[in-house]
Amino acid sequence: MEKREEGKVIIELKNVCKYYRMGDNIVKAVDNVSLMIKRGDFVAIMGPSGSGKSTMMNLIGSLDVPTRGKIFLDQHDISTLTESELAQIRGKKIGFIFQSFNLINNLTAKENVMIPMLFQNNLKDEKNFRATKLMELVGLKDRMHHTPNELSGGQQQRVAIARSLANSPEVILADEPTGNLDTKTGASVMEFLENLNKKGKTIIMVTHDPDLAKDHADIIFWLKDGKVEKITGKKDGWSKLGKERLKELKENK
Amino acid sequence: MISDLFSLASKNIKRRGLRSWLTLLGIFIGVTAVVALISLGNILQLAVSSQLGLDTNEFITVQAGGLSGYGPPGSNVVDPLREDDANAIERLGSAKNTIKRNMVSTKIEFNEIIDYKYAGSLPNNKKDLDLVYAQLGLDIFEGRLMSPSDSGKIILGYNFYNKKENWGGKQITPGKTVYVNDEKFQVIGILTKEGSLIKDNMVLMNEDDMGDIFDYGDEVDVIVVEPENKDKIQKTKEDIEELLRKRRGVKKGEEDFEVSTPEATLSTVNNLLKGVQIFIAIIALISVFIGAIGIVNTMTTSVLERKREIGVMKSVGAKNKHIFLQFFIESSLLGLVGGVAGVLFGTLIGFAGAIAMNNFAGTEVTPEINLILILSVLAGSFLIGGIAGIIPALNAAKQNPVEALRS
Amino acid sequence: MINKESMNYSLRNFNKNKGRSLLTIFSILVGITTIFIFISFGYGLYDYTNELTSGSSADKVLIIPKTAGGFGAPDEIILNEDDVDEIKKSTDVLDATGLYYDAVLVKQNSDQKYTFIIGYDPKKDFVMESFNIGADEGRMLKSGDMGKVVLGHNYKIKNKIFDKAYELNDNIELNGIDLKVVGFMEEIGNPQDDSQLYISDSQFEELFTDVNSYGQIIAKVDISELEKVIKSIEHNLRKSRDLEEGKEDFYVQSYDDLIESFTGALNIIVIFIIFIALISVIVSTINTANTMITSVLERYKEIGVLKAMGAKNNNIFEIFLFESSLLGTIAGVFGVIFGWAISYTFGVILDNMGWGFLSPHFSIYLFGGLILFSGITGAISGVFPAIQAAKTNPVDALRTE
Repeated sequence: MEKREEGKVIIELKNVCKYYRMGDNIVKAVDNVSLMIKRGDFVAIMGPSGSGKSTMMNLIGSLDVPTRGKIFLDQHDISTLTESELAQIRGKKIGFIFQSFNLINNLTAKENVMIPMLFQNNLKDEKNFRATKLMELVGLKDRMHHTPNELSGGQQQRVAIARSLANSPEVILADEPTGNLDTKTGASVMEFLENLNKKGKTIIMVTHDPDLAKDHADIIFWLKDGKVEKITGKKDGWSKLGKERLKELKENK
Repeated sequence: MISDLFSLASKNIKRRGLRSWLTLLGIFIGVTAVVALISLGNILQLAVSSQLGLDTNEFITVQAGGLSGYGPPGSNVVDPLREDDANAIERLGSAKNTIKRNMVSTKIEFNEIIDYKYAGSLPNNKKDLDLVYAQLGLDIFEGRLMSPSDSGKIILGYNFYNKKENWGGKQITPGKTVYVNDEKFQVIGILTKEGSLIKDNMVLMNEDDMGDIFDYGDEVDVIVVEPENKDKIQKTKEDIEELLRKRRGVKKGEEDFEVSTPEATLSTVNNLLKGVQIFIAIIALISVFIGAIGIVNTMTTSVLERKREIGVMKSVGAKNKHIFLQFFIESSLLGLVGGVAGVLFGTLIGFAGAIAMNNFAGTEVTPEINLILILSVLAGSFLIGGIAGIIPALNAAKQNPVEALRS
Repeated sequence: MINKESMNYSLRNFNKNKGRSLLTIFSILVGITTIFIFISFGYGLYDYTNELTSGSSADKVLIIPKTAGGFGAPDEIILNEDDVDEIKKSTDVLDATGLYYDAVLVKQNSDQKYTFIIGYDPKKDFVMESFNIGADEGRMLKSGDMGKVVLGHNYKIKNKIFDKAYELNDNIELNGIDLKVVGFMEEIGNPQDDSQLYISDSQFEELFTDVNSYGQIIAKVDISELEKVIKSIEHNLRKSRDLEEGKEDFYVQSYDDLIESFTGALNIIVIFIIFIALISVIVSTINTANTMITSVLERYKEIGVLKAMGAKNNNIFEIFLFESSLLGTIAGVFGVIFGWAISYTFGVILDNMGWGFLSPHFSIYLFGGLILFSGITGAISGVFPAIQAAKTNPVDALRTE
């Protein structure tokens, strides 16, 4: 039986399937996947196009519900929740970072950062204060009042990162975070993510770039045709914790 | 080329589904309102004028000056016409027949119930009598028309027969006794339903009888003149006017009497109704205007959404004017389709209104299909659609293909 | 519910699509302005008729001969001094007097006009009281005034009725006879009444030699028992005219009753017109819905992002509903402002043309009510698009380019 350690496993998928009907065919985007992600993990989900990694991200990020199976987010079964209930949970526990930044164009950087807070009933002053702090954190305090079209790609992504941290979520879900950035800017973004991870945030990154995954993630789930083909560990600097995790995961696959 | 543009335009309109429908709906409602209101207004006018109308055809009517708009002919006159005036007119060469008539408000009693109605006089000779029947367009429903020698007899309008609830449930039919101004009269005929308040409630009696029971002396309320030559009716009118001016000692332009030919009988009420109709139509037009704003909005958005497409079209050779035409036709079509639907529905409402009015108000109006109205409304909505789309279409045409493709 | 930052987000969206927002607002505004104008004039007319009923005409009762319709000197039914005496004898009748009226021909050089002339006993001041008017120049008629006339307001204005204006002590020709102008009535506010003439009853009898009946009789009564008074008058007149009950040849009515029937008709007309103006509101609601649908379509991906950030269905719904309500409310505010400006201007113009009684009246409820109404129609038009927006599937939305 799988061990589900209380308080340490943050995301768990049990026999999760996501099927789509395309005419007469059934497309199995995610096919019977089970995995566990613990607090503090830096996980990469790898795979070519069509491997199901986007679907996987949607499921893990509670943006979507599985056709079959169960998904646990911080011990809560989110597989059968309604859209609104999912929204509530994901607003509190998950921060998203997208490949194309997805900032809202008519709002300033600071206002963008405040958005996740709008839906969580925080006090106003707190919102302002925290947004400013977060802008400081990503080093863009002097650009707080600029709109996205006045910022470079790298700056936009940093704003997105600040936004993802708005409600102090436990999990950061990054979908090809460096996809639209040049190498140098991309490297600084990844550095940022690593820092967050060191501070205790769980990072789940979806990417098609194996080097990116190997350079930064502790654990890599390799997807192919909707299934987890293999699980590997970090290239070098492998921590003891990491090795144990790998073993754990391999046993429970 | 144009037909291609038209089919392209309709495809594009369909493509935008719900939003095109909504835009159409807006124009549709506005046009329906305008057409319905104008049709209903026309019907109301017809109804009212048929209510008030007494005589038509080719007869001239002469009345004394006064405030006769407030009642039947002869009410509120300052210096009434008299029998001698009628006799003098009779002697005119251009007057073929001259008939003097009186109209009085009087008490009618039947089955112990009293009401007040208008009584009109009928000539006591056959020639004039037939003329009056023709002038008023009277037909008998039950019983018979009055003959010149009849005395102590009356004919009544249809409502006397029809509305027996007004007379304690008893029906007035030929042979029954009715008291006019407390004098006993026998009903000999009921007129057919005219659909006119006045004609359906009319009491007609021999002028001799009338002269006996009312004392208006030799005063005459209205003189009806049949012109010698129907086509020279103006001459007859002028002759009468000159004659009366001499008789009454008034100068031209200062007449204290009125000679009316049929065309000139546009009463104040008619004018008032027309004014009201125009006023209401203008209010309805506001909704069309708002619908047009809807078209502007829709087209502007459409241009924005299709920026890329415009870029593509230009890159394959479309000129500015082609782009302009395409969008212009699209917006015109929106106007036209909305207009067509609106005209159809509005006319339908007009029809329904006519039928309802006939059932409830006892009128007999036939709804007519005013082709001019329909065509002008259609042309108008096509135009409005076009005009609404000019600026967006111009914007579309002005697009720089390189930038457009980048969208 | 909805918080300040969400509102800010919505406002930013407005600014981005200024053209479209403005057009939508304009479309609603036109309808609101129209309704405002009509309600304000209707309100004005309503107040006007209310004024008529209150005060000096409230304690008056009218006795008029029955006719088949129309207005003016009666044909056959006679009301005379005997009837006045009978009426005076009735319970709670304080006084009564007869009023003559007929049409008269007024001439100035070669210009002529037919108008109504009223003859009354100047001793009975409750007559003019019941009409609620008095002379504002010169004097009212005195008992036994012969050769004198009081003119309606419009006669003293050049080119209004005649080219030349009349002044006090001028002579005016009525039915060929000259009378001296001793006063002008104050302006009533409609051309009809303002071209009326007033003479004493004795002068009327001289001018219209064959007059044999009053046009109507006015009685001043104790209104605390109006029903009783009317019944008493009817009873007495019936007796003296030898008529059976139900066969009266006269009407007895209180002024209030008369005016009530007038207001009833007025209400119907005003409501009808407003109904038509409502059609414009319906069309503008459609326009607003259209705008909101476009907005939702444009922000499809954005909605997905918001949902990823934790926005629930409700949050999305509220945001879009707020936007459409805002459009409506702004349109409402400007609509009532424009409406007020136009109404006021029209009112001034009408007043100058002599139609002063058609003046618009305003109330805080009119302003507030219409703004609220406009906001609500904005909200209603946005409900369906807002629901559509709320139902957006974040996965699909995020996938869009």
